[in-house]
Amino acid sequence: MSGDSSAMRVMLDARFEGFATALRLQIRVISALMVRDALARFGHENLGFFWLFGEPLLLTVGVMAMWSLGGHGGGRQIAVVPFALSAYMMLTLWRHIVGKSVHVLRRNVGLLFHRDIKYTDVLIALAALECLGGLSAFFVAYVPLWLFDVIDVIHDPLLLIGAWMLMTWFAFAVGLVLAGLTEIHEAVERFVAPILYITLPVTGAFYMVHWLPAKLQKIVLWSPPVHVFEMFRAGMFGPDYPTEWNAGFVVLCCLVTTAAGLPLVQVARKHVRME
Amino acid sequence: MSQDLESGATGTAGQSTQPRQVARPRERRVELRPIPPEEAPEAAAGWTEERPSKWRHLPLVLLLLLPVSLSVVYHGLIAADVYVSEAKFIVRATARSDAGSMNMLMQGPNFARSTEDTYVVSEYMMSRDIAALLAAHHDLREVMGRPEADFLSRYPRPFGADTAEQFFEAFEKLVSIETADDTGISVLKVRAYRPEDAEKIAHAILGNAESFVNQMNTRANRDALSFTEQMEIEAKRRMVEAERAITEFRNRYKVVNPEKETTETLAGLAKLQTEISRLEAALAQQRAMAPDSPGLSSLQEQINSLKAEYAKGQRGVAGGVGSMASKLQDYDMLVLERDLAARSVAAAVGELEKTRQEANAQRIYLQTIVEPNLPDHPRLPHRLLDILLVAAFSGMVYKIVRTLLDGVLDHGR
Repeated sequence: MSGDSSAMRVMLDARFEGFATALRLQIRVISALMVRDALARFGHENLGFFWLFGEPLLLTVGVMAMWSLGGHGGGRQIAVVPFALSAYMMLTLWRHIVGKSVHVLRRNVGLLFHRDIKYTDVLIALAALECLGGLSAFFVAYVPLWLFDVIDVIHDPLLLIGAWMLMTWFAFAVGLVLAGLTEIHEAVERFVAPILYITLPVTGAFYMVHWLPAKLQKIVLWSPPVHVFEMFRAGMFGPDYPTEWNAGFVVLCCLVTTAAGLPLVQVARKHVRME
Repeated sequence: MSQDLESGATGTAGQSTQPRQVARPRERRVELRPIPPEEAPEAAAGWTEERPSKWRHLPLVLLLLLPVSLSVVYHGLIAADVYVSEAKFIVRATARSDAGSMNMLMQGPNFARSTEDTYVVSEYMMSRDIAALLAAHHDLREVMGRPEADFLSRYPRPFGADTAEQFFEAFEKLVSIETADDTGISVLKVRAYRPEDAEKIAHAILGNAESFVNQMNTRANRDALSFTEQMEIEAKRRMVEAERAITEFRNRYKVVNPEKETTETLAGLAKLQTEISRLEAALAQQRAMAPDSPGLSSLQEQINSLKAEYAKGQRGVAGGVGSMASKLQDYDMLVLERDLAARSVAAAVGELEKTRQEANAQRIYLQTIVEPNLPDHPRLPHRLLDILLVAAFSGMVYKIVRTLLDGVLDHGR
């Protein structure tokens, strides 16, 4: 009897330890996958890893130069450069995560060869890499611009980073849904690029909600990325520029989308064939 | 089957068999042979069958069953019926529009009919001021704390106190106002635990809002009027001042109307001149006719005195400090000042009249389109809908947590 109970206790400890070990293992796996993905995308030659944040940096700085010279005038009061910065960094994050989730399961099926790597790890690693890369790109662009007095100091860094994380979560959730759907049905892949393009106005990247007429404001505020962009800009510019956002709504949308996406990926696993 | 396997391994090396069909994973039959304890003693010692962890169902219970059962209990059994009384109103301004009809045509369809006055009134209806008024005159606190209400939504809250802030928060939950952008019509909804309470509070809110609107009107009128009244008083004062200056001038220089007097003096001088000319003519004639006449010198004397008289008169009119001309200048200034003052008084009085008329015409008023109704059926709470929402939400969260946890545990095996 005593032998049994001590065995039970050992087993219980083993359970908790088991969970902690498993978690540690998963984190190691995810970090390894992140490094692998970065190397796979950029390689060792040339600037290699730098392109992780070099790419959004190039895009944003290019657009900033173009808009400044072309006199785009970021609209009412905001100067062109900060507005371009706030728009393009997050937009890159959104588009990369969602874009790369098409057929992601079948592209990475070879990784499943390793017993410790699961699909969830791969997806999380991809999203985390984009998140960190984009965030570094933002700061690499921001610091010199701030030092040269082109941009004011960030008003609320916590809000800024919170918005960034929410965007990552939402893009990840949508990516999950797309990853599942594109494996289950062949035709879905064709719709993704056009839909991303058409919904570009609805992401709220190129305008602030207060610039729109009242009726349009109400419509556009149904789209979660708009709230996230407003949060990001509220963090960057401060209360001088009125913003309207509701973090709870974004969290709710993320929860719904994630809850839909995770089972979709589970189901889609069976549809992936090992080539 | 195990016998088959063994015989197959040893016996059929050389035989030609049909191509071995590899069964697909689902169809492969796998058989487990338990290892007898003698062959693996260390495994048999403390080995028990792997059972699912007894913590396995904890997330399910915590995240799904618990919220749903709590929700069922609350929404099904405890929650009190809430009656909603609805009223519709619009805030109108009777402003004269100076834009001609051409302007209106070119403006195109105007979507924003709701002016800022509507929002001002809506803001007031949801403000602490009106809450305090309702509490004082219409027993709002009792309405919010009726015994019919369940213990969670009654005011004051189970762990809350009766503070002004909490009272206001509870009030905000009771009342809602929505304004349609294109029509400008606002809908007022009041919730209460008794139907007559809801209707009474809705009426009270509308009544208070009307007196608030009237207050706004009189204040606006007063401001506009006081300005023009001020202007009129100022103009009148200036007029009085001008008159006083003229009177003082007249008293000082002992002349009532310098202009007229100057004219008269000049006329007199002209007459003098005529007389002088006549006398000179007569003198010349006399001289021509009778150079030695004794009347010549008297004529000459007359002419001389008249000339002296004329010169004096002339000096009195113009030239020199005490002359009429310099006084005339001052007098002209004073008369000018009085004329201007008179004109500004006329303008101010006209302005005052116009402002009075405008003020009386341009008011905003609250028009109740639909009176608050007496509800007979509780519209709230949406019991089934709330339970389903709670179930859906906690289901989602549970699903996510379950998948993530399973994913983590997958790595442990």
